[in-house]
Amino acid sequence: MNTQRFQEIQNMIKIQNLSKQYENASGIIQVVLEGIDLNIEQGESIAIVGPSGSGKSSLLNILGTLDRATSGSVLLNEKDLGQLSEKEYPGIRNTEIGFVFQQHHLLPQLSLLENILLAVLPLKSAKRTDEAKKRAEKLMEAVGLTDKTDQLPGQCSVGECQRVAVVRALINQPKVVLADEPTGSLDEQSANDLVNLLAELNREQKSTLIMVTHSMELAKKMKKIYRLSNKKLEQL
Amino acid sequence: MKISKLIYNSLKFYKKQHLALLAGTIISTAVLTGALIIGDSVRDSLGSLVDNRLGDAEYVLQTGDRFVTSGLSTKIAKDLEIGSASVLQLIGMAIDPLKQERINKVQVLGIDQSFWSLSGLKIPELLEDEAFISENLAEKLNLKWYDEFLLRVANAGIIPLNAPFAEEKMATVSFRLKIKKILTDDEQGRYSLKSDQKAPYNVFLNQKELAKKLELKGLVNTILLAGNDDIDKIIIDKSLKKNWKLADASLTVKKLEDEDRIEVQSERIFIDEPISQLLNKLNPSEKVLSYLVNSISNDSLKVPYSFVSAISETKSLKNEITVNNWLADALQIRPGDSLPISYFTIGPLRELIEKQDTFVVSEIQNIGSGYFRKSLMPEFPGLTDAGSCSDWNTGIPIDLDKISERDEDYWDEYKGTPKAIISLDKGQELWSNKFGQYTSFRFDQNTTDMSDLEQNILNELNPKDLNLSFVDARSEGENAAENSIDFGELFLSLSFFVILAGLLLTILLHSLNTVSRSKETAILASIGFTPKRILKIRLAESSVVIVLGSIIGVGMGILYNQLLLAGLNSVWQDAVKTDMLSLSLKPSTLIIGGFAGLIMSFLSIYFVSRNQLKQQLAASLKELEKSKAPGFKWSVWISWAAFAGAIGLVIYSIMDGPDENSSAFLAAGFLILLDLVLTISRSIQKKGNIKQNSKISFTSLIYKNLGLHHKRNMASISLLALGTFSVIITGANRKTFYGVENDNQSGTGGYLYWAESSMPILHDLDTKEGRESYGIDTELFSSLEFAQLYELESNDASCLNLNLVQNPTILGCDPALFEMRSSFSFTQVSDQSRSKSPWLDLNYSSDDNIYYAIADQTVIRWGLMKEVGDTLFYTDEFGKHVGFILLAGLENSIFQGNILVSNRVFEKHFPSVNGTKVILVDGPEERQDVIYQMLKDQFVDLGMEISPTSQRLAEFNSVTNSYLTVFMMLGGLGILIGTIGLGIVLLRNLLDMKYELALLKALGYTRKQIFSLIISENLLILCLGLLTGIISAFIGILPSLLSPAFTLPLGYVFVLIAAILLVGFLSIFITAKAALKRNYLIHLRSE
Repeated sequence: MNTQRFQEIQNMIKIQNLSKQYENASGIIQVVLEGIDLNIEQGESIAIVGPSGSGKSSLLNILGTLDRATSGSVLLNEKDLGQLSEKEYPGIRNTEIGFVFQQHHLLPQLSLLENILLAVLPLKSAKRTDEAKKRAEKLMEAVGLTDKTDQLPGQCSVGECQRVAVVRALINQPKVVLADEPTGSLDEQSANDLVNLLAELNREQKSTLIMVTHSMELAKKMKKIYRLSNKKLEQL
Repeated sequence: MKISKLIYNSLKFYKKQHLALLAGTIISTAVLTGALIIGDSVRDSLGSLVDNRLGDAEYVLQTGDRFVTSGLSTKIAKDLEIGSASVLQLIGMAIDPLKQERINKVQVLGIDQSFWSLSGLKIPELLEDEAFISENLAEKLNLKWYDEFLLRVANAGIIPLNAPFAEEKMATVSFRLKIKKILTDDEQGRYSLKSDQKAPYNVFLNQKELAKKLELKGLVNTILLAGNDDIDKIIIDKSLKKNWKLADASLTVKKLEDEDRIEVQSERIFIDEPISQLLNKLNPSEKVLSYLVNSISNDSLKVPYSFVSAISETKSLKNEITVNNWLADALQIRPGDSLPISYFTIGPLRELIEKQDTFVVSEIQNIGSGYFRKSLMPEFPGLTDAGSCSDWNTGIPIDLDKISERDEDYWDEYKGTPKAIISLDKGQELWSNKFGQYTSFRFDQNTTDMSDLEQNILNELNPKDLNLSFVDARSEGENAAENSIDFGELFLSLSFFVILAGLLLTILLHSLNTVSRSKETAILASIGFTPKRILKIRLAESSVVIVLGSIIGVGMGILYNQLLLAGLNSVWQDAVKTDMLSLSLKPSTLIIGGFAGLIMSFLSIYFVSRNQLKQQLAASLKELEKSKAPGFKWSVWISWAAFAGAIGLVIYSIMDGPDENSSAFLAAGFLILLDLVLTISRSIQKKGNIKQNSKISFTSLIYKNLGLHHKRNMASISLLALGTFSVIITGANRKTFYGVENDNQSGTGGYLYWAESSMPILHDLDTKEGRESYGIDTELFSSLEFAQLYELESNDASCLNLNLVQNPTILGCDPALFEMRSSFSFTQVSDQSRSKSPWLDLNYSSDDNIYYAIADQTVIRWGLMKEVGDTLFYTDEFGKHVGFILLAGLENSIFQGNILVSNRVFEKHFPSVNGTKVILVDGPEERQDVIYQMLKDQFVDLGMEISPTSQRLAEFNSVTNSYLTVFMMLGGLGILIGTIGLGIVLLRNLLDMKYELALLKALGYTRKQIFSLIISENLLILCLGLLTGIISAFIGILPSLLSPAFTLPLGYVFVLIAAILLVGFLSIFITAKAALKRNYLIHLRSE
């Protein structure tokens, strides 16, 4: 009993019999995910690969509360995401999950530092904001952008912006970092650097990292690799 | 697949967006078309009013103070084979005998059946003591059919009332009349010869009965003629000359059987100058000027009130006098003796000036022989028919105590046989007056045939010489209506903000539409459509909507117009002074309105589509972001310059007197607006650009978001500010004068009252004699100061008349009086002015009958459509053209509607205008109520309307104020529609921010936090725009605010601001709420 309980606590994410289907404009139902089961431990890094349209991003969005599963359950740090209300989602997203998207989605009107601190704003705590600022500067230093904190996104390269997006994802010290094709808009070198950075920060912060990617080479930088095809998930 | 199919499908798919575009097009087209229709409606309503006024009459002869025979119209009509009517048209007062309510300045129309038949109407004949009245009079006095009322008609006569020795008649003749019918507009109840939309109060009477009571039997003063295609004014005037008789020129020709002479006399006593010039050419054997002198004396012996004749036949030298034997006996004089004669000359307003001249007796002749014949005395009514001296009614004061029994005996036996004869030259030197210098011409019967003489006179004399000439009243009326105030243009400007708001909506909605279809644009471009082709497709799609919108807009424009007309006929009636405006639809106007709306909307969407597509196709996000680099240093300089300019203007204006510098304040307000807009712009950019040690907060995020769509947001702030500024400024521009109305330089001239009488005031109220003649020589009355003005009644050129007026009413004033009091002030003075004051220039005259005149600036500019320096031409009483150069324009005054000339000039050219009808009264301000009551009681029987000068100004101001109210209402509506546009700007911003919103959601922002962010951001735009407008407007209206009589409709301003805030908040709230329901998170997904 104690062993089982320990095992459950160690599972940061537990996916059970997860299915997702969409209804298109013509009313035809399209099943994207079916009977997915997956346990991810705290501090683990995994990559999910698969062809386009296989449902990788759908799975990631469900994990990140950007979407809901049609059936099955997702437990994040023991919380059943499917049972949570819409009102509870923002808190989960802000404190427990960090997102890195294919596009950096930095706000053009904010400096790089401000873009990072944007994620702290919903917390409404001045103390935490001050701490976050120090942390942000530290992280900026870690990603090699100390001298660019006051630059606008438009004044930086896409790679730099994407590194800022990574820092933004980590600023609230989330338990889980979800990266959806984070290198999609980068060249090969920048992509390698970014994934290395993600992996390194993941180690340092002891967060769980789930990365969706096309690239097997980048996926190999994660501890585990899963392939999603024919609506099913299998470990490689 | 065809392009048309793509367009059709797009129209169907984006129907919601297109419906919004349709709404924008409908609004701008409807407002534009509505404004154009109102132009037509007012013009056509005024045009149809010409039919109501004139019936079928086309040409009109108005004889002024003269009278012609009633048969003249029939003769001309027969000659030209057209319909005719003659009217005895006078002025009067209608009185409800029960309530004693009075209506002054009523048109009294003595008509016969020809009046109705001229216009094809079948109206029963009026019998004695019966009257028809117009609907407005019935309504005003609450009279019904068969009710009785009193009518007092201004007494009129052939002899001008202000001619020397004209008998003093009762001012009015009374009638008790039963209403036989109340005439509608279609039954000529609105008959008037003036081009004015205001309906006159009309009373129609049996012509013969009216003429009988006024002793004007067989005489009329107005002839109406129908017209046809073959005749014109020249032909009619020729027919007038052909058919008129000597009686129409008030001339009588008779044989003096005892003297073998034929005598020509005028029923007006003194023979008009053009006639005497003609008679002089016909070789008269004798020319006579007879005059009543006050006394002829020899030391202590005096003979009062005697006729002296100046005749051309006498051999007397200029200082010699021939007396009859009766006078020689009475005064015991002999040839060689000196004989002083005293006599009155008549000055303005029957001012009697007693003068004296001394003659040397050259000869004594017996009565009945030589010169001393009874026939030399003209036919003076009041004298000729008097049984005894005590019955004399001469218009001069007769001291009966001076008349002895001997004098009575002379009158009994010899009547007005002159007692002395002087030379004609001397007589004319002493007694010539503005009415003439002869009382009769005599022709030798042996050499002149009477009928030949009559015919000669008729052949040589032109009716035009007596100012008898027809006018093409219908054409003039139609022309006045056609060129009336252009309400189309006026309402286009009044509706400016609504049209702008409609266009803004069209632009915003279309822009939104285009932005939301950026992906489609990219797809079309990626599959090979050229940008030009894509633009064409989009324009074709939107054009379908715009065409439909324009068509519906035209229909809505008709409804909008009906709303405006309903407003003008009721709550805004002050602007048009009538309730007769009706809808007039012209296909051409509807087409123009529709096309104008279509073109405006099309151009709007063309430029929006072109720019948007260009951006979507050409620019990368990075380029866009880079283009947002800050740097607006130039705006700091402009901002400071505007602020400094505004402060400078305010200080200068306060030091120089705020009242005189209202336009400087307005400019200062505008500069402050500019300064505030630029400051806000910089502030947003600055706050959005803090880089160092920045602490991210919701507030800074709001500023940064505002800065992101800086241009768009600043456009919203500027438009709101400008709209609010304009509406408040307009409200404050409502003309007020309270507090300064007692100032001589104000529009009241410092006078307390403006009095207008129906019957002329013949005497000078500033003199003791004048006051005594009205029995009002009280202490208070003598403390009053009067400015009496002659009036040559014509069309009203004030803003109360919508028609274009060519010849406004002339007022003859004493320029020296206004100059002495420094009354009124000028907005513009022509460089032709010769002296220090334009008033003094009014007395200048030139040989070519060109004089100076002064008028209200608004009359010159809008009523007459002229400029200062232009000349107005009139025809005087003698048919001569008289020009009046508009020398100066008065600042908003009580003289709106008239032109002012010198009374000297007036008397010279319009001598027969009897007395004054317009009087300005000044007196102790603290007793103004007593003065008002006293004047009212004293002159009630002369039909005097007395109103405070401030009230008269207020009435003129009410027109302008009504237009300003319309502008404020429509401007307010425009701003409200524009505020809805703020919601659309927000929607567009939200569309542009879909990734940002999605990101905020992904970062854990709650819906409430995002909503607050959006609402705060947009409310800030709304409030900044409003505040900027309000602050700058209040600086612009500082003079009004400082005025003790500040009449800014604060209620309206508050309601407007509250409405803008409410509508703005609702449109922001609804848009934000709806937008947040969307699932923005999908934009973050990579699959």
